[in-house]
Amino acid sequence: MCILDVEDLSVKYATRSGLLTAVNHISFSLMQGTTLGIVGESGSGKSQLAMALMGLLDTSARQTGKIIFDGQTISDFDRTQRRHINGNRIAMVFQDPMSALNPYLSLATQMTEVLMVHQQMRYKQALEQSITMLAECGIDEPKTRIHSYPHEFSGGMRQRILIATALLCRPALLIADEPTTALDVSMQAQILDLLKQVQHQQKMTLIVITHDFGVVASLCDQVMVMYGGQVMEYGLVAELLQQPLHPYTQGLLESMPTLKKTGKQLYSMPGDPPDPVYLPQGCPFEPRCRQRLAECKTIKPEPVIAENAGMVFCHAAS
Amino acid sequence: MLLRYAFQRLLSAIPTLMVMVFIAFYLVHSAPGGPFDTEKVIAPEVRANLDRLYHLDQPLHKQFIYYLRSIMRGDLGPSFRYRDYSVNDLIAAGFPVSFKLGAAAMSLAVIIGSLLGMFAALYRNSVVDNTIQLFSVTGIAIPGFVIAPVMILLFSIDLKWLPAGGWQIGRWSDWVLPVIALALPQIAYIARLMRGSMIDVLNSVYIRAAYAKGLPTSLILRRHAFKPAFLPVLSYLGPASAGIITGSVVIEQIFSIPGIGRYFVQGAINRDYTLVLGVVVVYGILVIFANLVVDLLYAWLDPKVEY
Amino acid sequence: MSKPVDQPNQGAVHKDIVDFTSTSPWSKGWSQFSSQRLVFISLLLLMMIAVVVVFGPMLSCYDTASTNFELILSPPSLSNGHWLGTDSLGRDLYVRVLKGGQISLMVGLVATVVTIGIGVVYGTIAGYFGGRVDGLMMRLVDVLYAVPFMFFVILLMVVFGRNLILIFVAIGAVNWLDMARIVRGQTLSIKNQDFIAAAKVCGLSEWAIIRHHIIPNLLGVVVVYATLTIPQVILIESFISFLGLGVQEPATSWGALVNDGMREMHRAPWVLIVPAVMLSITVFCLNIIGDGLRDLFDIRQANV
Repeated sequence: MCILDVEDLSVKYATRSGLLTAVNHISFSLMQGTTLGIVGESGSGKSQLAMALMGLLDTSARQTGKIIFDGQTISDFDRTQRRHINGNRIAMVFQDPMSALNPYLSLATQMTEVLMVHQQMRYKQALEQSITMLAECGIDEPKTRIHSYPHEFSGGMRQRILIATALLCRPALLIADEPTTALDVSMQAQILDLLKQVQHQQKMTLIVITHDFGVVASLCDQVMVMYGGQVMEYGLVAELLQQPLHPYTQGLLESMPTLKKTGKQLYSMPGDPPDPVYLPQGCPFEPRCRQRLAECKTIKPEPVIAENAGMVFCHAAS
Repeated sequence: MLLRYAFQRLLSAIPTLMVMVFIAFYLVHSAPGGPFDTEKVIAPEVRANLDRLYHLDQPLHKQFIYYLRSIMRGDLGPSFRYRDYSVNDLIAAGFPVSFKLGAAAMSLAVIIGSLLGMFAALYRNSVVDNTIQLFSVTGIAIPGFVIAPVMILLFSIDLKWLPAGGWQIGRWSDWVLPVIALALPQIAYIARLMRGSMIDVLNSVYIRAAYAKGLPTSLILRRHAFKPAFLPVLSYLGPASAGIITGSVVIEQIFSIPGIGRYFVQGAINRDYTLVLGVVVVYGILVIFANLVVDLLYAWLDPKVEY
Repeated sequence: MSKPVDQPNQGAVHKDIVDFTSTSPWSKGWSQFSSQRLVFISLLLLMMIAVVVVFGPMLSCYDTASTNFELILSPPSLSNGHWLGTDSLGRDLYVRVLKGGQISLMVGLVATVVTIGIGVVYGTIAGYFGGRVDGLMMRLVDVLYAVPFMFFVILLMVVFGRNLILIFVAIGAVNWLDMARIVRGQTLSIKNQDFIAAAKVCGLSEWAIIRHHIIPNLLGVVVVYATLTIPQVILIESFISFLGLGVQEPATSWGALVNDGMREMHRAPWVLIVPAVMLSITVFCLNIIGDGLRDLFDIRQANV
């Protein structure tokens, strides 16, 4: 069953120097229980896409296109309607566990309020359920620790707490924005395991936003590569990582150090990401592309369905 | 725990107080003119007697010790000028009035200031915000001793709505102008402080996270945003109390309110050593006490403060 | 009126976007500065006030002290040459307000210099040497912070007589705490930067480091806080003069003039209004300029 359907989504901002395009005509759909990784450099629009999915874009943003979640067009919802979805059916885990928890409120307050608002629970019941969830997410002695404040926990613990809070209402869709970027390497693995485990247990759909193909490889079924607010390539993780079709994906993968490449020089992509106010008319990657063709500069590439059922937006690949 | 912290803070306030009394005492006593200089003719014997009575014939450090001892007993000594009264009498007479005035102004400043600042932050860049901001930059620039006479001119002399001064028991209209004049600069400052901190808080990730949890806006503002936004205002209340005490000196003067501020100015003009010293000591204790209360409140509200 | 901000606003626009729009801190700061028309208006207004205060009195044939009992509390008039009227002793208000302004502005500048002098030296020493010295020096600052300093200025005035030089010193002597604290914080942060370590490795002496590296890097902060100190100082002086404990006749200042005006306001409101407006506008403009500079240099209040 299709749980999320994004149709032609764009996010723009009016700035002093002109219209800034953060997300540029993106479409995709997700089946229930699958995991999608959205990969891109900072500035590729991936976080803006996440914010658009959550309905948390800045008030100055202009959003067009449709977001259909579980049969409802949530992009048309007003704030109150959205509120009943957020934290309930769609939840989010933020990048920085240090700042995503309110330092002035105890965990008990920050967790129970979700259940009390969305499921009309009494405090006592909500507290019990929160404690259970903390235990599931690997917090020791949740009964006493739930009354502590965020500063009493380490970064990895806080990320567990954030995940636990997001899972309280058993959401159908969880969006994790760079869930491991702010953590040490050993912590990263634990958090990824936790996400994998809860996703599996709850048959939840998961969107992971990251710049790290390692995270994608260990967690996701599908991957979407973004650049300059647009999709470059979309496909199954196993195939895409084996055989990337888009020059940008190829470049990204080649610039990653691996054991296999020992001794060889890593690829370093020339140039900088595009200015979102002055996006090129054609493919945004054209100025940095190794395989650019004449038409790349002026004509936006149409999606090409590849042999491996992936989709690639590139003139050179067709 | 909090009680122990309070006790510790109270102990650490003692050296502060000592330093203050020390500076004030030596300053006052290094004055070139004595308190009896203005009396026209004093026989030398009388003068010597007076000096002995007030320990003025002793070396300065001994006088200081005498003074400290009497302060410990809660005795601020006799007034040099109002011969029949002790400084305690004068302060006891003026204190309740000054305290009521200051407390009223402080409450008004905190409530109105925080509300204004909050509205400005919530309706950012709107007409409401711009008006509040204009009000607060203006309010900070115009001192109380300018606002007060202008208000008297407007509301007492022109419109005849409110009395221009005086402080009679049970006459509430006496309170209106002095309290507002005393509170206005603080309202302006607190509004500005609150606006800034509220905007910071609203932009913070944890507020965004609260929206992502689908909480109603009213709950987010009340539970998630108010406390962190208010904490900077709270820590300003120490300096604010000093500002209100200072301001009350002129406000009492302007509105002829019989508080300790007026005694202070009179004492300063008449070189009434003990009175001036006494008032400074009382003000110092008040300010230190206010800072202490603020610290305790802060420790109580902010879970990150360890005590 | 727009709707309440229901969602986190601009400042938090995502890092994706900020990455692109931020250029050098200077160019950004400058555009902010110039976009604040208020700052420029204030600057202009302040310059006008300064020019009028300094040169204005020369245009009038009256002086501050001479009285004219025929023309007591005369309203502003062009015909008798008392352009802003006269006070209760028949003295020309125009000249008195401008001469008073000279004193107020001068106190503002000189006392600020005293404040900066003490504060910078104290703060640099505490911040640079750190450790015990710093701990002790800052403890003293904390102790002094709890003291209601206005009363000490008044005490100083009472004790040492009411003359102008003393006002400078008295205000400077009690007002340096903020400056010391800010300078100390800034020094600490500069001290821990790599180029200081590099200078030490190169064998520069402590004083050479302080002179060549620390002090030039303090300049921005000091300029900003000096600008914000001037209006404070002007207010302190006018407060004291208002109480009759500051500048003495025949000299005058805006605070003293407000006090004079207050006595006569029911008969001659202009005697109050003119100095009150001058004082308020000056302080207002200085505050706006100080805030503008602070935004320009992007300095946040150093809370230690």
